[in-house]
Amino acid sequence: MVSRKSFLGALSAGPLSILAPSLLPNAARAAGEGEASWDKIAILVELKGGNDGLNTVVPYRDPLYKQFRPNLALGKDEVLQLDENLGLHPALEGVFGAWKKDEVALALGCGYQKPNRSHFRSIDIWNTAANSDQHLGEGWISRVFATTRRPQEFMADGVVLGQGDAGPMRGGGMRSVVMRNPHEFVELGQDAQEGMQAAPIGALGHLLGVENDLARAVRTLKAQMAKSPKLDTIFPNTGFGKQMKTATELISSGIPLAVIKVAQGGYDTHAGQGNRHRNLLSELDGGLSAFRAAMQEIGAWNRVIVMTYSEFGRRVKENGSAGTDHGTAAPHFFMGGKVKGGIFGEQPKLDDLGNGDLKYSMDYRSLYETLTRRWWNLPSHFTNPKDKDKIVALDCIRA
Amino acid sequence: MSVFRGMMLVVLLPAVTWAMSFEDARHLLNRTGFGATPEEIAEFAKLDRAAAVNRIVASAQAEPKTAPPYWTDEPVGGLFTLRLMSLKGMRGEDVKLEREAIKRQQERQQKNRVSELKAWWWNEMIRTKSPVTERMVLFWHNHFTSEVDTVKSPELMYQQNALLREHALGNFGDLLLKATIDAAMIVYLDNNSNTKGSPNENYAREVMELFTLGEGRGYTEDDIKEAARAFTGWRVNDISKKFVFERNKHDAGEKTILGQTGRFTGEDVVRILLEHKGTSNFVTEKMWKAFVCEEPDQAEVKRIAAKFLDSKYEIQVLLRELLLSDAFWAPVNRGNMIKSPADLVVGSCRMFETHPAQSFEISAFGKLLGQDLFAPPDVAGWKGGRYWIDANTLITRHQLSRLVLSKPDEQKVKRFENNRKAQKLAALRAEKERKEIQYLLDGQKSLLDNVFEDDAFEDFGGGADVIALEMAVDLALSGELSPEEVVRQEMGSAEPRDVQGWIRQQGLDRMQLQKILLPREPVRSIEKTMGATEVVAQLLLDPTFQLK
Repeated sequence: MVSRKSFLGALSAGPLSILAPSLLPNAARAAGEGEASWDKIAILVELKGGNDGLNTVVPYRDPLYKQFRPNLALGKDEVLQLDENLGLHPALEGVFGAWKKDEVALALGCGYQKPNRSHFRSIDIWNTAANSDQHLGEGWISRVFATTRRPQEFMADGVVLGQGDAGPMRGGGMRSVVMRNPHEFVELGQDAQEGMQAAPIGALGHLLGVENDLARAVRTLKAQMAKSPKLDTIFPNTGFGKQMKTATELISSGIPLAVIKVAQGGYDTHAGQGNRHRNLLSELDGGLSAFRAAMQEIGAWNRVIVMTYSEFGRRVKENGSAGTDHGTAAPHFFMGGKVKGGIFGEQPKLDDLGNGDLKYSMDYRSLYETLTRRWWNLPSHFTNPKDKDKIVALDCIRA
Repeated sequence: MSVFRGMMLVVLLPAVTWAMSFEDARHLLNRTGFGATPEEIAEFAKLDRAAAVNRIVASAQAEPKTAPPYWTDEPVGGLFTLRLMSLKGMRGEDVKLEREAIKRQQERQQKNRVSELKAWWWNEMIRTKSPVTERMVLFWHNHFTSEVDTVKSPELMYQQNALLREHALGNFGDLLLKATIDAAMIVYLDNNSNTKGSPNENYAREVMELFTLGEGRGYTEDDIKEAARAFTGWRVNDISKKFVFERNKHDAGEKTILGQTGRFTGEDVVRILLEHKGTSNFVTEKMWKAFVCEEPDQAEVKRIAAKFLDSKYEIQVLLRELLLSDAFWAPVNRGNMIKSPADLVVGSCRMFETHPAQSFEISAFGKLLGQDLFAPPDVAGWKGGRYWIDANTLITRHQLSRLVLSKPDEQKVKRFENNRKAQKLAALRAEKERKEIQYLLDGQKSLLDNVFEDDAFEDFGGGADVIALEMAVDLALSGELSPEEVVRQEMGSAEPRDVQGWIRQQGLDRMQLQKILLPREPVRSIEKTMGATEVVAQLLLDPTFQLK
């Protein structure tokens, strides 16, 4: 086993030295003006079921918070205080550690006009960056990427881990692959064959093209996974921990791609929310903390950014079963070595509710615009003529 | 003169009266059906093209071959609706809890029924004697789309499916009108909230954009607005779940639609749309894309659309014209379309005559491959063609081929058979329950409330005793057969076997296997040294297996 010290020594030539140079044409180049940064990877974390934002970033000083939530409210002494008004759920210890290092940017009050409270429909809206009454078939990343060319060397544009569909990477010309883990993918993909160059046009041409891509992804994975370095970091043995471990394997073995989507389910906490929510956030925190440690271990923490999202937040007032029902706006966060920490946007007011729900203060597409412009250095993509002032690229990424 | 005549014969004969080749028969059968077997192909190869096409078109069936789930002939909502009704006007914490409990049960039941409905249709496609019927039902399902997630009623989705089957090869005009007043459609496209004074344009827009004229072809936003007014008051009754015309919600004023003015109702809109030439053109083009190739020959579409219109929208006429067009038989249009998941799933099961348990497992691949029946992605339906294929679905298609080649797991067969038995029991039990309720309702309507206080209803689906008891009742109900026997009869007696068994049975050489399984030359050549099983495996994994 390689000791941490000797491994880090091997990395002294720079964070990219473990990556096969031929696979990353743009990686060595600094992302200049107007040039996309394809060496950067975004990890999208879907919190399935609708995470309770109000108990994630807690307005612990607000007396209304306790009034609305006599059973569920977290006290001043319990929360991890971010400032004099807001605090993180105590289960988010690791995230709080990163916050103290200025590596966490919180975006408050993310939502949209005419909120839809159906899980299915609302996540569709989030996935496709649609307005409430708009039906768009393709995922938001697919649409952003369709406007630009990705490096030929990409194994795929994106990888989907864990339960769930391609979501934001659905459709379009996006090359995304869903896998439980790369080893299984290599196993299942063995029937795909490469090297059918003289592809005719038409349906057969399309088939051969896709099969080529697939076979290449399988070949790249197979070759690169063998190079995956042994890490000291230990991942929690949870569903989410395993996904983050797989994400780490993909990154540490230098597989060229732009997005990894992971998902954690169970956030639909209609009843007995207290413990359930604590366990969920604890699992989330464990996976993210290990991921951060692993990225720091291989010197890739500056190349990755984590972004959370969820179909909606939950109702302000707790229900009769010590749980919360479907709501609207919620906070989300970015985390990474290049993140400029801080609180962005405004906490929705508890004395100014709409139908018992928080009024969103930031259009959720600001998160996407931030990744598009500030992270990948791509042209602005998300504007909403009806609500223009609310979509902004947050100034939360360091140069 | 005689020279001229001779030329005429030379021109006419090859297209119409010569017997088809084996490849021709395969092409025709797989484009109009699913996974033609060697015997079927050989049988059709004896016919000439016109006779073969006529035989296919004439095979249409208005009824399914397999029995739909038992609950499809129950009144929609059935027991739960009645039970909720019996609580109407009552107050208190208990009633609230009761109401919530009923709703939860209803949701669970609905979920199960949706799965049963999907499994039923996959099975019907596999077992039908008229594959062209099911192909057309699928075509219309993708044309007059509805999503079960939105309609939230497997019962109404079944009724829509039955409607599409009844008219699958009937008259498009009739189908358009019936689809317009179909309950699932009305719910799906929000015509329930389309009322005088506050029109909802959803149906009016889609009927022009997707069902008749095609997007942006010959209609304006004003036409949509006016048509929406004509459709006001065409609703589904909340309780009966049947179409009703509610006069007080209908806007009886004057409308101008596609140049015609009058006090139009929804029926007039349908008539006006059918009078518009664009409709025959649009439907013909869509059928061309489903049967001939992805890029329609516009001159041919125009010619065939004119005949379709002349026939007053007889779908048989349209299909026959398409299948007898030169383009359909042209070499360039052989093996140039991507198989849909239904082609692949149903075709594999029919071709290899898989055991029902294995067919059941294979049809679960339909959803994985992107074709979840009764749940198209949106109102525009499945995009189809090359959209079916991406890295993930291709891997899944390869897995499907592997599954087809393998022998079904004994445990899965067992589980499947038990499941079928349980379904049969549930069907019989429901029949008994319905009879009891009907009896009570007929006898003493005032006793309605008492019926629903009977705890017996809560016990359904209960322990082994209940099942044993029920079985005795079932025997009496169904006459002489036990549930086991009923299930056995429905499933046939096929033993699970793998593809080797099939090859042995067929006794085919490798060239014959290739001609049956692939629509064109394989990309990867077959080695002389390969055994039959290896040959089949390679053919099923060849990219051309994904084509039809």
